[in-house]
Amino acid sequence: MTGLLGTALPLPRLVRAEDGTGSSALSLPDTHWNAALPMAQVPQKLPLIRFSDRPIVLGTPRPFFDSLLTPNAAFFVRYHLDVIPNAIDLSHWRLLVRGNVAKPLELSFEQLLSRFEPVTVVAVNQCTGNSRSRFAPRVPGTQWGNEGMGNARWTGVRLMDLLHRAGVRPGTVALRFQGLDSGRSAEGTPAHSYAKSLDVGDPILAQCIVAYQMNGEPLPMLNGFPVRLVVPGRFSTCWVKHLSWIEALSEPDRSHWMLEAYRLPDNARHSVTPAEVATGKLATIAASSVPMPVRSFFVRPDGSSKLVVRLPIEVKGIAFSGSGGIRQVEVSTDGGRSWRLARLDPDLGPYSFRGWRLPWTPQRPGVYELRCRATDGKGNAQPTEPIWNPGGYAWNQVETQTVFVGEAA
Amino acid sequence: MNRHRFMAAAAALLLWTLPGSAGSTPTNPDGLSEAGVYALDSSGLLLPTSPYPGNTSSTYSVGAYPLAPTPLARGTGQELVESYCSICHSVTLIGVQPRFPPEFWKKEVDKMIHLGAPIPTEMVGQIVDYLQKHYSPVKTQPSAPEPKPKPSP
Repeated sequence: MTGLLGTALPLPRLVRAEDGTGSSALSLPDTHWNAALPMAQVPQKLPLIRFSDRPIVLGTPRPFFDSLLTPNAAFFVRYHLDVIPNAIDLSHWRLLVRGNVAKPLELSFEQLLSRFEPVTVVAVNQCTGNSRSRFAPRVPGTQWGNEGMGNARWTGVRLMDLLHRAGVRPGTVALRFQGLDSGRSAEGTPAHSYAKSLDVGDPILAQCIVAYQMNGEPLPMLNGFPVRLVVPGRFSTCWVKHLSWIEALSEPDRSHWMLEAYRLPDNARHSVTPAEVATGKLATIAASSVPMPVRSFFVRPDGSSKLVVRLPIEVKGIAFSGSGGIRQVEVSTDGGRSWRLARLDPDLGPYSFRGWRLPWTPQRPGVYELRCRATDGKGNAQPTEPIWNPGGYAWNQVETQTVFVGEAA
Repeated sequence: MNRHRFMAAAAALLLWTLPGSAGSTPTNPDGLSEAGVYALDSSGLLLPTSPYPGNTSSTYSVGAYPLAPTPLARGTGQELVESYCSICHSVTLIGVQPRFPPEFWKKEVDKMIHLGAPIPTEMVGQIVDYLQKHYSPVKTQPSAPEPKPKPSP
């Protein structure tokens, strides 16, 4: 257990072990970034933070975000339903394009590779509920820290190329995407199948790809092998894994997953109060229809080590947005009183993590509150105040990292 | 098997290192305040998954997914919860939720039934009772707002 694996282990466990009671009076490192849960190892993956073993829900430990492209073996996993493919036979597997189309398609994996121009996009895949554990009052669902996200280079076929080949007919209002995963409840019930739709007029369709490659490799099974829908700049809820059916709908999709789950308050911050929810008159929109709000994160320092006074370090992090990439990232080392611009790393495209860094030399021992605040290409800056909504979605408050700086003499 | 061997090794290591520990002498001339201290904690051990045998067929398999549900609190109704909730998901999901107020668990069970959980009407009360008893705040005070989440300390 050395190297990467060693650093990826949750830190609170070490502290807890010291007195064996779980009620240590020691000052803990930041347990907030990653949930303090056991790790689990599943096929094709490194040990990841385990939220659920069935259906499989796993989070990416913070040190992996040191790399702008999240390794496939560390990429987070989130399923709603537990009948997850263990094996897929590509000699039988087909991608179907059907419904209100002139020419239904049945494409083999080989045909996707050979008959369509391959395209590549670097894009962040983030669970709509990433950071849900920060909502106050708490809301049900996967209690993510910040580990429900990852960034990868996706290669595949343009969704529009498939749709043109099939000839989507007039009268189509939406496209519904469904994968091979399913649930054990009765057919027709919401927990039997998971499908998501995008409006036919949504401009994001032109950016979507049906990806057969992730960071230059086949997709891990738990990230959607053999192909998944990539919807750059949008939440993962519509990045359907094991994609097998694309259906042109002439009626709106009125399923549970579109009309009841993954709904955001229809306002700029996607924020309401519990009292407003109780009135039952909340106007909502589908989370899949809006760009992900701008966010930024500290990767280092992560609070696991005490810093030493007058020893220079590089503060390093990532930022992203669904609206035009990252324009700037500001960093405060005094709890938000003053801000300095971080230097941005090379740009991998508007949907990617953007790396940023700032040299810093703490001049006095003490407890410091570091903050980072990103502004995206459309001028949206992260809010200082928290948001709240009943689903625990779209969190993007300015992040705080507490660090301890010790004396050197 | 593996785990037992691992723990035995860890225990042996503990015994072996304790006599040599510098923990009792906080001010060594070389600045070493503590070394060789271990605490036995088997919960941190991870067993590797077996690599799936390779072949060149058109079938891409990863083998079975490991199942290791976190056990539920013991009590009346536990078996009902295990039986009905486990149809669709592992009970691990219950224990990782925050301690929600009792009325929340009623809503959550109703939601699961709406999603398709085949829970007979006469069982709903017992399932909700169990969840409220074991997975709601210990003292049911009038919903004190949880402190705003802040990074540790």
